[in-house]
Amino acid sequence: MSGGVAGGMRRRPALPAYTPTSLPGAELDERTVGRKDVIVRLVGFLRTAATSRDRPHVLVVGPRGSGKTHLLAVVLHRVRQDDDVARRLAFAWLPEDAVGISSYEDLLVVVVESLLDGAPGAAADTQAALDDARRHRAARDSLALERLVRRLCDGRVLVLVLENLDRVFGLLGEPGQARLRAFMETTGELLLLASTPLLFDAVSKRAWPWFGSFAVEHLGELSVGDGGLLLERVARESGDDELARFLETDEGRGRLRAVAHLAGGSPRMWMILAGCMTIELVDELVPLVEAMLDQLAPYYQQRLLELPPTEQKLVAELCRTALGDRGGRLVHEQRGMRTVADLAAVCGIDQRVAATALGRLRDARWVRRTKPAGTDRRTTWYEVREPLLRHCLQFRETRGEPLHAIVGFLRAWYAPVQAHRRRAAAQPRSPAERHLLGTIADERVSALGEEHPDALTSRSNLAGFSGAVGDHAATRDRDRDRDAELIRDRSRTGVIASALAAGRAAELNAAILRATPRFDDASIVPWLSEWLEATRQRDELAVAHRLLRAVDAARADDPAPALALAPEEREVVAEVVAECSSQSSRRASG
Amino acid sequence: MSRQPDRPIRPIPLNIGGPIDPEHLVGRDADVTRIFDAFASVGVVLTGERRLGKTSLARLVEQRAGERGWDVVRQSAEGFTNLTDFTAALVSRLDDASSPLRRVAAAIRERWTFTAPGFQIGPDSAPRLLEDFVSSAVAASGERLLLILDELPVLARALERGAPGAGVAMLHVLRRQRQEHAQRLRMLCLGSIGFHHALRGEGRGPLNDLDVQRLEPLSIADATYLAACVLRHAGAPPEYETQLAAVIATQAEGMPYFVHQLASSVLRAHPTRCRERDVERIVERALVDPDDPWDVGHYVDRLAAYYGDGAPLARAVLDELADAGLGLRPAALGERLAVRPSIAPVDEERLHDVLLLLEADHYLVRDGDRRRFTFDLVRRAWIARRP
Repeated sequence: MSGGVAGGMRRRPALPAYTPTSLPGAELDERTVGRKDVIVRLVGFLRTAATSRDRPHVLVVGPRGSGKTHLLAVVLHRVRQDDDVARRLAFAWLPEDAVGISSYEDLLVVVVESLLDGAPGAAADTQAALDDARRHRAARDSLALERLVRRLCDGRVLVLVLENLDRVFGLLGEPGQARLRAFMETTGELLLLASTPLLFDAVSKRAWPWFGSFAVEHLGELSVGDGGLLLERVARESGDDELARFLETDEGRGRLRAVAHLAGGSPRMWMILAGCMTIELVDELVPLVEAMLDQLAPYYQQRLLELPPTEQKLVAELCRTALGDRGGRLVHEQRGMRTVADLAAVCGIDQRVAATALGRLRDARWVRRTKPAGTDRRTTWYEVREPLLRHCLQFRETRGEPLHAIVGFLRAWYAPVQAHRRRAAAQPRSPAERHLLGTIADERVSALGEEHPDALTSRSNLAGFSGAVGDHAATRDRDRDRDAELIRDRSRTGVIASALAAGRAAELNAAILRATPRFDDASIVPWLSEWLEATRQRDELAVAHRLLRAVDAARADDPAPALALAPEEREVVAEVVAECSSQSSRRASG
Repeated sequence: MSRQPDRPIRPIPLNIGGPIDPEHLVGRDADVTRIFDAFASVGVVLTGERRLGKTSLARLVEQRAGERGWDVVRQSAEGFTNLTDFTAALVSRLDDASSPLRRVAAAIRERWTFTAPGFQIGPDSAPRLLEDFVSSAVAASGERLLLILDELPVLARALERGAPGAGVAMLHVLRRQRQEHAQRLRMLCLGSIGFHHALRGEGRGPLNDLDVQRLEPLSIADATYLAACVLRHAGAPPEYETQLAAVIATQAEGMPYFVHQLASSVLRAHPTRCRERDVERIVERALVDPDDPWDVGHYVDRLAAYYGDGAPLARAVLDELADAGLGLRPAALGERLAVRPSIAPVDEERLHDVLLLLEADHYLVRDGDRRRFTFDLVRRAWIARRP
C-alpha cells in the first residue's frame, strides 16, 4: 500500500456538491477557484445596474456541474457586502428546479413569493400580498401582478436570478418571454441574472424576443491545478491537514491528474471525487465512481428522451463505444468524432435526414461540428459537447464491461505493479476485478505499442493523428522546395505516435510541441488543440493540450496560462515560443 | 479616425444588449433633434434593424420630452395579442405619471369596470377603449402628451392574425386620434420588424401622416468615442483607447451593439495586448463560427419566412450584390439575373418589388442609382453562409 495518508482508506466528509447554496456565501467565496475574472465581471454588472439605468443582463452558460449555482451565490454574496449597492437592488432567486411555472403570471407569483421570503414586515401584510398575487393570477391579470412586484421592490431594481433559463423560457413560451421583455423594456426596473447548461434559440436567434439581450459568460473547465486548489481549500476548511499535505505529494498530484481524467473540468465532479482522494481499496473506489455516474445517468437519459427519435439515435451513437481488438482482447473503445455518412449508416437513416437532424442538434448545443485542418474539407465531423454525457450513457450501455472512463481513471490512479497486486487481491468476478483487468490490458497494449509502434498506431486514433498532421502538411506544401521539411515533419509525427503509444508523457509533450513551430501560420495550434480535446483520453494528452494553449496564448503575448504551469512545463513552452519566433523571423527575412 | 478633441473620454459600462442608461448614449443628439423637428407635425415612425438602438433612442426622447414639460407614456407592445390588454397596459403606465393622469387611469378603470385584462371588454369594444384612453389622457395632460409605442408592428401583426383587419383598424384608431388632437398629441412608433409585414396590401395608409425616419448606425467618430469610453470603464490598457477604439468602431460599422460586443471580446481574449489584426480576426471568426454567436445566419434563414415564393429571387439578388461590393444598378442586376435559369425570367416589376422589400428589411440601401448591402457585416455573413 502506498497511501500517503496514515490510516489508508478513509472517506472525506460529505460535501454539498449538488446544493452549494446550502453553504454560507462567505464560505462558498472562500472555496471558489478559477472563476475570479468572471465573478469580478458579474459583480461589476450588478453594480452598474444599481448605480445607473443600464441593465446589463447576464447569462452564465456551463454544463451541469460546472459551478453555475455556486458562482451566482458568490456574486450575490459579494454584492450584498456593499451596502450602497445592495440597498438599491431587490433580489428574487427562483429555485433551480422551480416547478409549477407554466405562464408569465406563474413566474410573477414566484417572484412575489421570493421577494416576500424573509422580507421585513408584519406577517399579515405578507399574507395579504401573497393572497393578492394568487388572486391576480387566478384572474390572469399580469398587469396587476407587475404592479405588485414593483410595489414590493419599492424603487429598487429587481435582480431576477433564473437558473435553467432554457427550461423557464420553454415553460413560458414565446408569449410569456415577450411579456417579460415588455415589462423590462417599459419599466427599466428589471435585471436578469440567469444560467443555462446550453445556449438555446430563445436567446440566440434573432426572431425571439430576448435575442442578443445577454452578456454571455461561458464557464470554462477547471484545470488540474484549479481542481487541486479546490480540494486543498476544502481540506483546510474542514481541518483535514492530512489530506492537504497528501495533495502536495507526488502521489497526491498523480491522483489529482487521475481525478481530472474522469471529472474533466467539472467542479461538481471534483467535489464528488474529493471524497475518495485517499481511498486505497479499489473495492471502495470503483463503486463510488460507478455510483456517481449512475446518479447522473437518469438526468442525461431524461434529456435524451426529450429528443425526437432520430436525434436520440444520433446522440446515442455519438456517445457509443465500439468493440475493438486490443491485444487479443475485445474491449469497448471510444470513437470520438464521427462523420454524417458514418452516423447515417450505423443508425440506418438517410444521410440527408441525418444531416438535418445533426443541424438541429448543433443548434440545440448537443453536438458540435468541426472541419479539422488536414482532413477533407468537404467532410464535417460531429461529436457530443459534454464528456459526462458520453461517460454516463456508456456506463448504462457497457454493463459487465470495464467502463472506458473507469479504466483510464484506475490506470492513472495506480501504477501498473500496484494494479497487478490489487487485481490478485480483488474478489473474483467482482466489478473491481473487471476494471482492474481492463486496466492491465490497457497497460499491455501500451507495452505492445512500445515494441511495435506501427501495429498499435494502425488501429488507434494515433493513426488519425499522425496521418492528419502529415496530410495537413501535404496540403499546405505543394512547393517542391519544402518536401525535405515535410519528410522531417512526418518523422516528427512518428515520434509523437510512438511516444503516445509508450505513454511517455514528457516525451510526447516535447514531440508535439516541437512539431508545431513548423506550422508557423498558427493554423495548426488551434487545430491541434481541437484534436487533442476530441481525443483526450489520456492524462498526457490533457497535459499536452494545456501546454499547447499556453503556447498559443504566449504567442499572442498573453503569458498568464504559461505562468500558471509548473516550472519545467514553462520551460518547454518558452522553448517552443522562442523557436516559433525564430522561424517567423527567418521566414520574414528570407 | 481620431476622436473629437472637445469630448473627454468618460467611463461607460459594458452592456451587451441590455437597456442603456440615456446618460450613456453616444452620438444620438442629431437623431433626437430630427425626431423633435418631426414633432412639429404629429409624429414619427422610427425604423431600423434589431439591436441598432431604437428603444434606447426612444428612452432618450422620453427624457428630453420630460425636460420640456411634456407628459410621456411609453409602452412596449411585445407579447400583447389583443388590444384590450395592450390598452390596459397603457392605462397602467398612467399610474407612474402626474396626478391628473393618475386620476384619468382611475376614471377609465371605473368607466370600463375592468380590473383584469379582457374583463367585460370584447374585441369590438377594444378600439373604443383605446380611443377613450388617448382622448382622456390628452385632455388631462399639460402642454403635450407623447405616446411612445414600442414594437407596434408586432402588435399589429398579432391582431391581424387573431382577426384579419384588426391590426389595421388599431392603426387607424391611432391615426384618428392624432388628427383629433393634432395640437397636443404626438406619437413615436417603433418596431424591429417593418410595418409592411403587418400591413400587407394596405400601403402606408394608417401611417401616412407620420414622418418615417430610419435609424442609422453611429458615425465612425461617435462609435470610436463610444468604444474608447467602454474601454476606459473596463480598465483596459490606455493604448487601447487610442489604437483600438477606431478599429472596433470600423469593424462594428458604427453599430453600438457590436461596439460593445467587440470591446467585450477584445477585453477577454486580449486583456493586456491587442493588435488591430486581432480585432479583425474576432469579427472574421464570428461570421464563420459554426455556432453563429451573432446569429448572422438569420439574414439567410429568414428569407423563406419573409418572402415566401419570392425568396429564390431575393436570394439571387443578394448573391449578385454580395459579389459586387460597390453595388449594382437595377438594370445591371437584371442582366445578371437573366442568366440564372433557376429564377428566370425576371421582369422589371418583380425585381423592383423585391428590391423595395429588401430595402424595407434593411438588407439593401440605395447608393445613388445603385443598390448595395446596408452593412458590410451582413454582406460578408451572406457570402459565408449563403445556401
